Amino acid sequence: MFSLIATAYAAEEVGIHVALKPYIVGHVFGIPLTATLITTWITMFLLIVGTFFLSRKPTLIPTKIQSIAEMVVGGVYDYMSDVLESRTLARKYFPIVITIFIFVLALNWIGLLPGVTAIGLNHDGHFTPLLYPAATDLNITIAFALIAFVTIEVAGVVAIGAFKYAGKFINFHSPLAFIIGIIELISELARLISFSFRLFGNIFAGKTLLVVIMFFVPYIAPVPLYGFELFVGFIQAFVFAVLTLFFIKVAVAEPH
Amino acid sequence: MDEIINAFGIDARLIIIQVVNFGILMVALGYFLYKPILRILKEREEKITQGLQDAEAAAQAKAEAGEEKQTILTNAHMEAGEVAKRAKTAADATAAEIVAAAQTKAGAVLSDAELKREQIKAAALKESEKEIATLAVLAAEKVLREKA
Repeated sequence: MFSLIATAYAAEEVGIHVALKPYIVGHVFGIPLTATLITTWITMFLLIVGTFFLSRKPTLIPTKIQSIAEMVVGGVYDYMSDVLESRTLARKYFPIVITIFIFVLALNWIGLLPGVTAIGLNHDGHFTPLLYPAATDLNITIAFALIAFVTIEVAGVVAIGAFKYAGKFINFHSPLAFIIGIIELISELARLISFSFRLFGNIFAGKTLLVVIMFFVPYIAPVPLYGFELFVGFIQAFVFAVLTLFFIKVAVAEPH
Repeated sequence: MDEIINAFGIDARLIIIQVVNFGILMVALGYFLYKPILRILKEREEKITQGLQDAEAAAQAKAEAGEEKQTILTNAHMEAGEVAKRAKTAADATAAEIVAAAQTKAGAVLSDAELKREQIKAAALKESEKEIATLAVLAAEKVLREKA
């Protein structure tokens, strides 16, 4: 719907261009190369290079940057140990949960940098940005949702066994238990959608809001919104990671 | 369904690429961030525990050393007093001995001197008697010569 209106505006070469689809910059081996994918790669590059130089060889007496890294990594690890009530479980799922947090946070915040959405290619009178906030692409949020979903299900199966875990959803103890199980199953599957659309919706809405306000009032007015979007970017990363953690906790619990 | 997929530009290949991206990032951050930071946190925790234990041990050792010092000092004081007492007793005994010896010696010297004096006196008497006799004889001779 939105993309139709946007296309109509784009044809007039004025107005606000907002599309639900990711911008396709080109094709590599037939695979579309999207602006969001390029942004993701740049984010990954920055994270890997940054950690390579800053935290690969930590010292016993920490530098300032190391202190921040320690606060994040140590904080998440301790929090996970508390929630899961087990160091071994925390150790097992720690890399996935913290990578979700750091990756989503970095993608959201890098998406707010000036230049993202503004740097792009102009051809045939059409402007295609090279960089675009990654979470405005449903492909990327679906990938995160799939990772979280698979992690949660695998955690459940590993912790209590495939048969017992399946018994949480399909059991014939009583008609009521059967119905509850089916509802559980549906809500389990619905997480795929809620995970991906929550992140997508929040960041997409924020981006759209910024584009709209910058079209009408380009100076000063976007500043508080930028501040708010920084906050939203953090909260969404936090929520994504914490929900993954809580669902892992629910999945590893013995059925009763 | 197709409409939704089309509207959002969903492409399974892009999703797979993103999952792979996530995997790469997770491994890289594992090597450069999680592992080293968790290791250093553990190391620091161990070091602090070790330090606290060491400090406790040192405090205990210090207390023990203080107690030992006190005992040693008390002992030394007592011993020193005893030594001084013994030395004094010994010195007193020696002094008494020396005084006694000196008295004996002095007595001996005195009696010796008395004896000598008696002898000298006796000798002197004898001598003077002889002299007096001689003088008497001489005087008698003189008188006799005048008379004659």
